[in-house]
Formats: sequence, structure tokens, C-alpha cells
Amino acid sequence: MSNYYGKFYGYTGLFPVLDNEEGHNHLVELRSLLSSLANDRGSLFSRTGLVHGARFFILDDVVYNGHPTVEEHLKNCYLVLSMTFDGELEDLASRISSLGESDWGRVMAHCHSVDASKPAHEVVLEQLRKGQVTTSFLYVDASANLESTLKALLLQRKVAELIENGQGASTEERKALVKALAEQFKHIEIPAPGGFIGD
Amino acid sequence: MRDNELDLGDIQGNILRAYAFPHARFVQLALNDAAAGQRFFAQLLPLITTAEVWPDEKPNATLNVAISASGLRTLELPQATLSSFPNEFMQGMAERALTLGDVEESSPEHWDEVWQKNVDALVSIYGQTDNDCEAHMEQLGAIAEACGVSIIGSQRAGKLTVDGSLSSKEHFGFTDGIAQPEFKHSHSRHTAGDGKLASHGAWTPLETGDFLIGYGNEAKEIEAYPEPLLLSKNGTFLVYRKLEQDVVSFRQYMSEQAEKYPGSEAKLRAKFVGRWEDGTPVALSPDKADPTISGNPDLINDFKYGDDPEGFKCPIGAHVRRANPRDALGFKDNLTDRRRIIRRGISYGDYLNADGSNADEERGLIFIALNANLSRQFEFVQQQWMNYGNDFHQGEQSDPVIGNHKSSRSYVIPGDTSKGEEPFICTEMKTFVRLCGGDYFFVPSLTGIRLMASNEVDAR
Amino acid sequence: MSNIRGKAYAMNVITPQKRWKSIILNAAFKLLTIRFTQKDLRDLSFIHFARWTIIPATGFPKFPQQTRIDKTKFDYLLFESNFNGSWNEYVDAFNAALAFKLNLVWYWSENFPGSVPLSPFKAYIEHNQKYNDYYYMAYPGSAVSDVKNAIDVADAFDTLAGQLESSDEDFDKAYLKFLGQTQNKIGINGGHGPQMS
Repeated sequence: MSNYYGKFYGYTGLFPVLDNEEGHNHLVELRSLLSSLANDRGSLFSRTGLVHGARFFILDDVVYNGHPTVEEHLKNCYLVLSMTFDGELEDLASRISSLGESDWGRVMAHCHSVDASKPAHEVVLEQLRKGQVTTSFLYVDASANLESTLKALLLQRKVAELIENGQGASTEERKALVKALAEQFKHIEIPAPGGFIGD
Repeated sequence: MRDNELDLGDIQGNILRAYAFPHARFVQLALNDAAAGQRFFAQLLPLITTAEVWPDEKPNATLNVAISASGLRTLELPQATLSSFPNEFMQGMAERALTLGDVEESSPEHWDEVWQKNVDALVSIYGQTDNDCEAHMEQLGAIAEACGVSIIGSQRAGKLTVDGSLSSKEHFGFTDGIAQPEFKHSHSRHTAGDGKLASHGAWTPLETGDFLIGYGNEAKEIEAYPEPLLLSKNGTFLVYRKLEQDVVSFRQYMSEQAEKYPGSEAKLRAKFVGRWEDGTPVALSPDKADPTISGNPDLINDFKYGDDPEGFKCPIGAHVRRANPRDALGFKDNLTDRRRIIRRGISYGDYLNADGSNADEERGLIFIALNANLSRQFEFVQQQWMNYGNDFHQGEQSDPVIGNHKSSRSYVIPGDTSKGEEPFICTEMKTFVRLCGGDYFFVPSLTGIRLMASNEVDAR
Repeated sequence: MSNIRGKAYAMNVITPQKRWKSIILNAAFKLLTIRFTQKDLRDLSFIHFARWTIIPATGFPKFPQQTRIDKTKFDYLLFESNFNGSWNEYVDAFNAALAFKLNLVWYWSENFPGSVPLSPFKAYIEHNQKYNDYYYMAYPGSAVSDVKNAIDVADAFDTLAGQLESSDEDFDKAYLKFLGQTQNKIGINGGHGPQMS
């Protein structure tokens, strides 16, 4: 199963965009919506608490590379979603559905979808599965889950300061510095993912 | 008969080899209009020094010319030609300030007055004596006046006099310009460490095309060039940067840190630069300057960093390791070969006296770099390696000597903890170097100059 | 509406490939997965995540209400990457370090010019690239190396904090070891990085 890389899951899905209906050009509306979605701490993906990286793009057609290749075209436009996240697809689906009304629903409203009569998390999961294409080769250059990563990035800054402050200090002073930082990190609040630590 | 694979008589001097004259003048000109510019280039041609080898001895002085994007526009070259020049060149250095990290005190609004204007052309004069430079200046002045071209600025520069004798040091006290890229057909002396690493580990020359337009380069191709090729072949791009050095602050910072540093102040300085003041690489001699190395051109550049991944000899962030990381980034030196630049820097102002009595005078370096692709070579080095640290796994840390230290406040000199050595962290780093102006220039071949003078540039 | 978020760039490249060649490529991926390339990618240390997905000619998703189903002549190879630096820097570095291995992956795609020389390779990538409408990164101010450093630093600090009750002598030893583990991994990060242009 190439969708897994250690504890990471690599998801790629294609969702056919709905045909135009009276008063609705779904492709135009979808592109407009995607460009307006929050991609910082207010993002849908930030709120799941599992996603390391995510993207949406429109596959409006395939690419023709010139003679002697045959030119061909797609009959549908697809919304492509890909994500790298912690855990299983089920975990992500239930996090998304637990957000209630969210950007997920607003985006998928422009795409073909599965039967919506089931419980919310099952609908999200089935939608993800229906659109999924299996990854042939996944590569992730990370070892820790999202929470540990964010915490480590915060700690790294504090450790840099500790090393500076501990330069030339006595053992006793160094112990005090280490103890204080360890204590501080037991109760530290990790900022939501999606933002700059520097900000 | 052909005596070289390159047409040396068509290539401007100082690209393939350094002149190594002690005195220099850099003259900034406004061409005013196309006709004036054409007359000027036509009349300047006989004075231009080429790359031909001097048969007996050096001339008393040399003269070379380069032209900026505003100069090309003033000459009214065809739009197809102008559009074929690379974007970064056509934008000019001031517009590239954010890309280059030329911000705060170094941002264009603080530049010298002449660099606030359009400098259309740059004439570089090097001489054995200042009088020799002056003689060329007079000729240049006469031609400019006759042609209707204006001299809008002039910068004096030269080797520094340190302790009463002419020196190769720059203002911070380090021997400068030691390592230069060695490339095919340049006819420079083969020096281990200047070229690239062959698969068997020996140093071999780089491809010509990363330094001269119109030749095969390290990507195994002849890169896109400005049209027509007749205009651009045998030419290259020149970076001119007037860098003010705050020597008082540099010396003060070093002596303050040296009080806490377990080694000598000379060693601390060497750990910042990656070379001792005499040029000995710390990668070869981490504990002392070694005249048997610094005095031997076959040894002074013959080193790698692959055996020192933790930076115990040469810190990972040291200036020369950043400027040319050799094999430090892995994959042999494949990730650095296409980032090399030729440097022709020369100091301006007088060396700061030990008692600081001439501290108020201006001093610094006229940084000159030559390369075929500004964006891939000079700009990449400046942005990624001087003002950023990611390629060295150092986050946003910048170069300890010439970098901007507004946000990256510390510099780590790693210690070999297996031998009980702690690292030394220099805190509250200062920005020692400020950009006072400069621009990007195209250095045409003699053919290119003739073509511009003729008003017959035909894009294709 | 951008390929860039902080220090990261998201690239999508889709290339047509004859169906029988997918079998060879899948075998090559198996080889790549277990062998050399991962170490190379890790050493390059500027790719957060990357993936190759073969969309089979008959494998486009089918939803219940869909009126038209796609069945193509070619299979399509979708490459997606999250890396640090600009497009040019990435392609240059990828090419300089891994030219031969890139050939192994795209060799099977229609009209692929090969990874050397560089300009036709860049043109091919650009021609087949799909731009993002939306890009999210959980830690946009931290590059791959920053994250790896931070994890190592956090581990080293946890170990050191476990030595607080030790004798002074043992703590000194632990502290020295901690300095050795962290000294080259504390570069400040979390900001926006250099302007990519």
C-alpha cells in the first residue's frame, strides 16, 4: 500500500466538477471559492489538526506534448485534492465531519458526490474513497506527527536561547535553565498549525 | 593561426584573468541619447583592453566598458534584443533589492547620489600608478565630451597600504580574491580547488559557458542568450556593488567576543571568515595560520569540506564555506558548480589605523562579480547563501561577515564535544557591511561594442 | 491561489504515458521505494513530501450521478511535490543531483526529452505543470531542514531534562553531549524566507 509512509498517509483524489446548471457555472464558482479560502490558522486543514500539507488544483484537461503523440481530451474537469496527514483516512474524515458546516462542504458542493443520506462522517469518508487514486510512490521527509512537530519548532527557539544564556554558566545555573524550560514546556500551549511561528 | 579555443582579441580583459593592478577608477556615465552613445562606443574601441596575453610586460593601465539596461535602452536597440536580455538584468539591481536582501540601511533610497540615477555605462580603469589611471581618465573625458556623453560619477579604488606597504588585504584585514573559478580555455594557471571535482576526486576546470556567453555550460548546453548572438557571444554580466565596511564596529565586536572566546582573537576572526588573515584555509589548518600553505598557490585552495560535516575545523556558517560550499552540500560538488562567480573586488578608502584616528573616513570594497547568468549565479549566492541559511541547515541565519543580522542574531563556532570542547556562540551579531549602490552591467565583446556603435543590431 | 506558501512551493506535473509502460514504471517505483533514491532525497533535504500517482486510462473516478465517464488512451502520471525554494532552484538542484534517476521516472512519458540538457527538461516540466488554486502548509515558516533540526533538538533536550536529578558531574557530561547534538541545529526559523522570483 503506497499511500502510507510510516505513520503518514498520502492522499490524492479526483472529484469531477458538476456540469453547468441554470445560473451556476460550477467551475468558475469553484475556482473563485478556492482562491478565497483561508490557508493560514483559519484553514479547514488547520482545524483538522492532522494535516501537514494540502492543495487543491483543477485538472481541466490533460496535456498534449506534440507529434508523434496522439492528442486527447478529458470529458470532465476534476478538482484534485492531495494531502499528507497523520493517521488513517477514517480519522481525517471524522475530523472533517466534526467541523460541521465548513469549507469542505462548500467546495464539494461544486463536485459530484456520494449519497448524502448516511451519517456525516461516513459521507465524507465515502466521498474521499470514491475520488481516491492510489499513490504509486509516496515520499515523506519527516518523522514526527503534527503536534510533536509544532511543539519541537517552538522548543527549538527556546533551546537556542538556553544555549546562549548557558554559555560560560555554572552547572547549577545550567540545571536551573534546563529545569525552567522543561517546566515551561509541560504546560505550553501549541499554536494552531498553518501560521508562521515568527508572527 | 588560432592560438586559443577562445578569441582572446574579442573578449574584454579582466574576465579571464585578474589584472592585479594596485590602482583603479570606476567611472559612471550617462549616454544621453542613442547617437551620442554610438559615437562614444566607436571612439572608445581602440582604448579597450582585451584578453590577449601581454607579450612582454604589463601595460601601464587598462580600460574596459560595460553597459547597463538603461544604457541599452538609451541606445535604442531593437525591442526584440532588449526583450531577450534576462529579466533581472533589465530590472537592474535597485529593483532586485528585496530578492537580494538589500534592505534597511542597504536599501536603494539610502544609496549614493550617483546610484540614485540611471548609470548607462561603467568604465573601469586599472593602472600601475594613480597617474596612469589619471592619464586614461583624461582620454576618457575628452572622448565623452566630444561625443556628448556625460560622466556622472567616478570612484577611486586601490590596493590598501597596510603597515607602510601595498597589501592584498581588504579592510577587515583578510587577504582577498584568493579563490576564483577555473574554467576551460581561460588559460589561467591550474590550481587545485578552483575548478570542480571530477568523479575520481581530482579538480578539473569548469565549463566555459557559465562565465562567457555562447559556450557550453555545466548543464551540458548553450544557455539562452541575448539576441543576436553576434552581440552577446564572448560577453558576460558584471555585478557592481559598493560595499561600505564598518571596520570600527567589526574590530570592536571581535575584541569583545575574543574576551570570552577560548582561543585567540586571530583564531576567532579566522572562524568567521574560514581563512586566517594571510589566506590559510581553516579547513586545512584549524589552529594557526600557516605560511607554507598561504604562500603556495597549489595548496591555498586545495581543500574540501566533506570530511568536516560538523564544522569543527571550518564552521558550517563561515564566510568562505557559504560563498563556495564546494562539496559541503553533498552530491560531490554538483550543487555548487553552477553557482560559481568570478570576483574582481578592490578596496576603496584608507586602511583604518590601529589607533582609529581615521575612523571617520569612508572605506569599503568595490565588489565586482562576473558570470553568464546573474539569477542562477550571483543572485542565488547572495540570496540563498549570504542572506539565508537553509542550504546549510542553518534556518534563516545569514553570513557572519557580510550578511544582514537584523533577525539572525547569533553565530555558532562548533566545538568537538567528543574532545570536551563546547561550541562558542557569538551573540548579538552586528551588520558590518552596507550597500551604497551599484547595478548590473553587460560586458560586451569587442564585436558587440562595434555592433552597438554601428546602429545595425538586427535581432533576427 | 498560489503555488507558494511561506517557504514551500507546491508543484503538480501530469504527463501522458503508454499503458504498457506503466507496468515498467511501477516496477521502477518498487525499486526506488526500497533502494537508493530515498537516501538521495533525504540528503537533498528540501522536499517535505512528494508522490507519483499513475492514473490508469480506465481509472478515473466514477461518481453515481456522473453522465460522462473518462476513458483515455494513455495512462497519466501525476507528480506532486512540496519543496523549499523557487521553481528554478528546485529543478536546477534536482537535476544537478539526480539527473539519471529523474530519467528513470519520466523516461516512460510521451515525448520526454530527458533530464540533460537542462533547458528542454525545464520546458517539458513547465508545459505539463498544473497550477494550484489553493495551497496549505501546517508550518509554512519552517523548511524541511528546520523541521528535522527541531525534532532532533527536542529529543536532545528531553534527554537532557531527564538528567536533572543526576550528579553535577553526570549532568555536565550530558550537557556537553546535548551541545554536540544541537550546536548546528538551532538556526532561527519560522519567518517568511527570501523572496522567490
